[in-house]
Amino acid sequence: MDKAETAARIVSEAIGELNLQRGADEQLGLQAMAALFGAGPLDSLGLVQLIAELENRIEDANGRRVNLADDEILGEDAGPFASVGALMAYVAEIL
Amino acid sequence: MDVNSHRCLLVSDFNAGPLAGYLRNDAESPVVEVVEAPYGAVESALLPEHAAWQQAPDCAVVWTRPQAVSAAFATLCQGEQVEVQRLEEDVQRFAALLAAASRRLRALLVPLWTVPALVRGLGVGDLKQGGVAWALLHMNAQLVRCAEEEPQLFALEAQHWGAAARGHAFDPKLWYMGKIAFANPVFRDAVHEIKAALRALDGRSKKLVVLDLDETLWGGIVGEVGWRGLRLGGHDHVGEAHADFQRALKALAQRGVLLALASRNEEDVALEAIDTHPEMVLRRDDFAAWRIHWGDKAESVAALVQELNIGLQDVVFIDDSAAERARVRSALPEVLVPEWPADPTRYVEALAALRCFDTVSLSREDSERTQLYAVERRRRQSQAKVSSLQQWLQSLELQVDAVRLSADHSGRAAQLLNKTNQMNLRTRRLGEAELLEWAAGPGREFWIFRVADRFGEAGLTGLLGLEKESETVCVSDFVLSCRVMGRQVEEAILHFATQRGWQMGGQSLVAQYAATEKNKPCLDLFARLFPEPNGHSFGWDLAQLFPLPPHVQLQI
Repeated sequence: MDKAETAARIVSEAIGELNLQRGADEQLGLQAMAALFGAGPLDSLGLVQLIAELENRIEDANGRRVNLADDEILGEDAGPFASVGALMAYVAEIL
Repeated sequence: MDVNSHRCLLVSDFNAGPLAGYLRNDAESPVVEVVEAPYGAVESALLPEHAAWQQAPDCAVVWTRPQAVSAAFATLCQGEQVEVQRLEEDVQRFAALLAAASRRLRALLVPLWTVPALVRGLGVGDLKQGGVAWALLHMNAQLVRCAEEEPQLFALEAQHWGAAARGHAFDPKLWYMGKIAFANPVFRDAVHEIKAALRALDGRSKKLVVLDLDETLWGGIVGEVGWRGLRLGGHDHVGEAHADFQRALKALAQRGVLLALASRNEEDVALEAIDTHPEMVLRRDDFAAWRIHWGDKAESVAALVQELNIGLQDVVFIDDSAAERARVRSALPEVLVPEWPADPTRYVEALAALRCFDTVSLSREDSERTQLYAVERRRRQSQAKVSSLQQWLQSLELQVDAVRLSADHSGRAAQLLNKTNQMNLRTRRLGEAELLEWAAGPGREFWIFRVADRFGEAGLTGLLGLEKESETVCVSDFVLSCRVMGRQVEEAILHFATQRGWQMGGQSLVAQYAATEKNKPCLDLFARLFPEPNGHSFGWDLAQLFPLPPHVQLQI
């Protein structure tokens, strides 16, 4: 499995985990275009949970602990958390 | 709220939003509607004036961190020494709040405290007095003692929640950024445990495990290798795993879960193995019934359920064969058919993971249930020997003892009230304390019935609630265990009801049937015994007693 596939799996699983806690009308999309944080349905608490899910899964995948809550990553706008596609690309980059 | 759903108040000193989400969405029965009290204000949320109580929750989960409940414990975590008495005072104050809140609910569940993830304590000395872990054990023990005194307050062992999370049970990021005290695997385990507790409280735990033999209770095919060739016990990891699986099943049987067999085998060959193999933990008397033949297993399960007179929804079917599982699952969708590991060393683990045999308390009847069914098997054999039903009933020497409800047997009475589905007139579900409180009300009587015959005691198997309203005595509860149905104990209880109704000053007795998915046998009984029903309302003029069957000795 290449990094893009691994990243897609990690992001999909993390979003799937969050969806288990969310109501039917609050489900997060899994398509690349689906918006997450910022213009999307993810609030700041949801973002924290997504970050934690991703960090654990990335550690499981490559044995390294990463920090996705870095001020630079979160930045002024939604950064890599703006959409599913952006997040998959970002995770593939740091894997 | 019906028996398949609950409205649960969630109170915590940390952000338990993920738990609320999982609990709402979890597909396992019962459905749980969650009322979230704002986190961080535990004490005020437990008071009846709090807005959360306006939504009329019937149960609650109060999950706290020990350092948030006890200032003394928080001080201890900072490395300072504290007097044990200060810890006890903090727990006592909190426990009093829990106890008071539990009296407004059917159940209040309290996960026991765990050592805070970021506190190391004294290491090797931490379980000596002065250590954090020692203090926590002390505090938890005090909380458990409080729960013992309150019938609606239940402590939940939370130490192992999230054990599969491999170091991810606590996530500092979730805590520092979201005030979420545990990681998702802990919350997922908590949901399973909360649901299991609610099912047990609703009397919806499974009552019967139907088991395959070959490659399930033992390793190997007995018809091919003979009982001497089976892998069971001994110095063999597969044999040892099968023996441990049998021990786990035996433990279930000893607390009242029935075991039965559905096996494709020659019956005499299989029974010889059960009777003869020196490493068998389960013997013939441990099984309430069996179907050992070459026929369809779904039919075997259906026949066992009929013989034991329990509902399909009360059954778990365990078989190593995926094809047999698929067959039973498809033919009998109400039966729980868990996926089963191919590796026998995983069997005990798979059984424990079902979480469907939980119970609120154990009664004498629970521990003797399998024996009671063995007695019933002998009773049926005797039925086959006599020519008519009436002759058979006469031969039973049936004795029914009526006793007014008291705290001595209210636990078992509440258990029977909440577990019985078929012969249950109104299917009222009440906790032990609620039942005692109801029975103590003006114009009310609640009676329990013990049944015995020449084969043995069936124990506490009947309930009758009566409530006088003007000149009418209403039957609030008419409950009979399926273990004694069909021996005219029903008629004996109705005789008693008319006797009591007259003594209470009533002119007529009225039984109003409340339909559920399961209690049609009760409707059929009343329709048969009361000739002129008014819809689902059955009346009896108390100028005369309902006739007592001649073969029943009724004692008060």
